[in-house]
Amino acid sequence: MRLFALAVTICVVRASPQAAETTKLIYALPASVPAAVAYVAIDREFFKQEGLEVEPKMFSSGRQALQALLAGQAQIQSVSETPVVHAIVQGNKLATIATIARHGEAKLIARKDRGIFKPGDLRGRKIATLPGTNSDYFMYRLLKRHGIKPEEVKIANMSPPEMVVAYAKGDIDGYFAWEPHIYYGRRYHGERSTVFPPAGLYEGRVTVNMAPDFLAARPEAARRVIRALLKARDFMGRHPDEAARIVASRLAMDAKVLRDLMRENVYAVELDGGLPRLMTEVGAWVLEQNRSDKPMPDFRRYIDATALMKERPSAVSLE
Amino acid sequence: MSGDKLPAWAGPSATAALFALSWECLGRWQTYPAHLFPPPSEAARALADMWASGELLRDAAASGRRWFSGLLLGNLLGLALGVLTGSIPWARRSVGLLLNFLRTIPFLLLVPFAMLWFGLGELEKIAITAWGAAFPVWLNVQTGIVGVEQEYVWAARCLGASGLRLVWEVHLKRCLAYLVAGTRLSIATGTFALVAAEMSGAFEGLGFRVFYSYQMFQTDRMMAGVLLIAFLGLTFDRVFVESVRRLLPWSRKVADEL
Amino acid sequence: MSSSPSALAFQGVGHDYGEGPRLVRALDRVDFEVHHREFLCLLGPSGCGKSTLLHLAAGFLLPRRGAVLVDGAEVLGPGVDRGVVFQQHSLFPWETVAGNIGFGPRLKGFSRKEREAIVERYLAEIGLREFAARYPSELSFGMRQRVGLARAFANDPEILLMDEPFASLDALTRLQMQELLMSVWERHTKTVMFVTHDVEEALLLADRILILSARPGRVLSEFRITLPRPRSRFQLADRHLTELKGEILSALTSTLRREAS
Repeated sequence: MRLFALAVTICVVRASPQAAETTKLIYALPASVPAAVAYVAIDREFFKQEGLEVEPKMFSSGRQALQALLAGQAQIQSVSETPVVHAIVQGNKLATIATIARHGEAKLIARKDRGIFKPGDLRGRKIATLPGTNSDYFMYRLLKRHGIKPEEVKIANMSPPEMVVAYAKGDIDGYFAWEPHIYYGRRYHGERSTVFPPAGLYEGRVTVNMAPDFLAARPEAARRVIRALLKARDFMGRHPDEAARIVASRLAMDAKVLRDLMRENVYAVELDGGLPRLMTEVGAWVLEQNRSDKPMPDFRRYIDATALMKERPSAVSLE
Repeated sequence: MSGDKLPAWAGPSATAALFALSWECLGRWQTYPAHLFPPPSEAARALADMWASGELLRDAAASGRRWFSGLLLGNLLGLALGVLTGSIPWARRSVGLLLNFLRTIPFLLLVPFAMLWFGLGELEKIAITAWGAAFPVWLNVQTGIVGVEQEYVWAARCLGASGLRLVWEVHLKRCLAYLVAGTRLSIATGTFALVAAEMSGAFEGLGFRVFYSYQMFQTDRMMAGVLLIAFLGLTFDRVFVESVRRLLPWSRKVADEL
Repeated sequence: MSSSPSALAFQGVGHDYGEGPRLVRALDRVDFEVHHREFLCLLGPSGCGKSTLLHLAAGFLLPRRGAVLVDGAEVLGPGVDRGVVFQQHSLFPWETVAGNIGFGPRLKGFSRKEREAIVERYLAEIGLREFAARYPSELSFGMRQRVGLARAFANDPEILLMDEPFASLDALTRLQMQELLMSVWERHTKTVMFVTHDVEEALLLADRILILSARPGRVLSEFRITLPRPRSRFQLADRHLTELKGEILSALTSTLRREAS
C-alpha cells in the first residue's frame, strides 16, 4: 500500500521531539466513531483555549495514525488499544496518557441466507478480516469462545472498504470490521445479514498516546491536552446533538445513523484498571499469533497517568 | 588496478557488501530508530524464522504459482497484441491508443477493480500480474514488427514466403530480440503488479506477508520480505538473460547489451 | 526475333517517386528485353534508375506507366521465379548459413535430406562448407555476400536479379566474387539481369550491356559482348575490348555531362 512506501521514507528521518515552545502539534486520528471526544475537542477549539495549536491529521485506520506517531510525524495520537499492543510488543516506545472511550465498534456481519445464524456456523465459510486490528482480535475471541479453530474458516485479509465491496458482491460470507464499515455492509444486504456485536467478549479502548521523549520534554503539553479532552467530554454530555453533528461532519456520515452508532460507546476521559488488563490479554494474543518467544511487556510501564492525575484524579483508577 | 585478474562478479559483490555493512552499522549505532528500518542482520534473522516455520516456503510457492501463470499469460497476450498492432496500421492507431492509455494506470488502483470483476481468488491475482506483464511485451513486439527491415521482407518474398508464412518467418523471428527485451521487462512489472495484488484479498504469498507484517508492526519481517522479493526478481532476470544467450546465439550482441 | 516471349520485358516503362512538386521522374520510357539464359548488364551512373528497374522486375514496385512482363505475363509482385541478390546481403540474422541457403527449398517443402543436399552443393561451390552452422554475424562481409549469392541460386529461380551485389566489397574480394559468379552461373545457367556502375565488371560478366542515361532513366545504347565463355580477366586486355570500353566510357560520361548541364 502507499502507506508502506510512505512508512519506509519516513523511517529514515530521525524522530526528534519538538524543542520549541509554540510549534504546531499534529494530532493523528483515525476515522472512527469512538474517537468522538477528540473530534469535539478539535472542532470546539478547546486545544486552542488551552494554548495549544493542534492540527488534526485524519488517517483511514488507527494503525496508520500510530505509524505517524512512531515516525515522529505526529505528537499526539489516538487509536484503539490493539495496534498499540502490537507496537509495544515489537519494541516501540510510547506513552498512553488517557483513554477517551470504551467502544463496541468491532463487530462481525455475516449472511443469514448463507446459513450463518450463530458464530458456530462460520465453519467452512469465507470471512474477511484486517490483521492486527481490534476487529481481528474480536474474531480471535469469538472463534475461541465457540471452539472454532482458525483453519476451519477461510480467512481472507483486506481493508474494511474492500470487505464491504466483497461482501456486497457475495465473494465473502461475512467480515470482521469496525463501524461504520459494518453499517455500509448492512446497506447492501440488510435483511440478509446478521450483526454480531462484541458484547461480553471484548470491550476496546480508544487511547491517547504521545512519544515518551516529547512527554518528558513538555509535560505541560500533556496536561493541556487532558484539559481540552475533559472539556470536550463535558460538552458532549451537555450538547449531545451538537456533538453528533460535529462527528457526523468529520466522518462525512449521515447524522441520524451516527447517533445510533454513537450510542454503542461509552465516552469518558479516564485511565482504569481495565486498560492494562485488556492490553495484557491482547498482548497474549499477539505473542501467540507471532509465535514469538518475546517476553510479555508490562503494559503499565507504558501508561503515564501523571497529567490526568493532576487534572482529574477521580478519573484514574489503575491498581 | 589489476582489474582483469578479478572475476566479473567481484565488483558488484563488493559494492553490495559495502552497502549492507554501512546499513548494518547505521542501524546498530541507533543513528535512527532502528526498529523502523531494520538492519540486514535483523532481516536475516526474521528470514530464518520464516523459513523454519515453513511459512516462507508456502508463501513463496503461492506467489510463485501466481507469478508464473500471470507472466505466461501476460507475455502471450502482449505478443498477440504486439503482432496485431504491429502488422495492421489501423489497429495500431485504434487499439494502440487504448493500450497506451491503459498502460499508465498504476497497479495499486487496479486492484479494487479486479476484485470487483474477478472476485477474490487466484484468478484475480493472476489477472493483475498478467496485466502488469503484458504492456512491455506488447510495446516491444510492436516496435520489433514495425521496424522489420524492408529488405528482409523482400528477400523472404523472393524466396517464396507470403501471408502468414511471411509474418512467421520474418516478422516474428526478427522481432524475437524485441520480444526477449519485452519479456525481461515483464518479469519486473509483473512482480510489481503481483505484490500490489497480494496486499488485499490474500492469505498467503510474499507480497501478502510484507503487508501482514506491516499490520503487525513486524518491520524486520517486512524488510526480509522486501529483500527476498527483490532478490528473487534479480535472480529470475539473470536466469532469463543467460537462457536467452544460450538459446538464441545470434542475438548474443543484443543479449550482451541487456 | 523468336515468337515465344522473352524472359523479362520492359514495355514503355516509366516510374516516378513522390507526388506533386516533389515528384522525381526516375524512369522515362524504357523498352528492352532480356532473353532466356542471357546475362544482361545494366550500366549507368548512380541515380539513373537502374535499381528502380531491378525493383520493378522483382515486383517490389509496380510501374506507374507501361508494363513489366515475365514470360509474357505481367509482374504483380515478388515471386520464386525471380531471385534477388541485394547489395547489402540481407541474410536473415536469425538463421544459420545453412538455414539461409536452405530457406527457399524449405518453404517449397523439400524434405530434409533434399534440402541438406542442396545446401551442401552450394556451400561447396562458394567454398564455405565449414561455416554451415555459423550465423551471418560471425562472417565477414565478403563471406556474407557469397552466402547471399548461394541463397538466391539455391532456390533455382528462372531469373536472377542482382543489384550491384559487389559494390560494397573491396577490390580483391570483388574480383573473387566475379569469378565465383561466373563459375556458378555457368553450372546453373539462368537469365540474369545485373545492375552495376563498374564498366570492367560489365565487360567481364555480360552477354549484353545496356547503357542507361541519368535521371530520368532511359536506355541510351546497347553493346553486345561476344567473348567466348568461360571468360578470364586477361581477355579484358584484348584490344577490341579496350576500344569497346572506351566507347562505353564516353557514352557514360556524355550522359553525365548532359545531366550536369
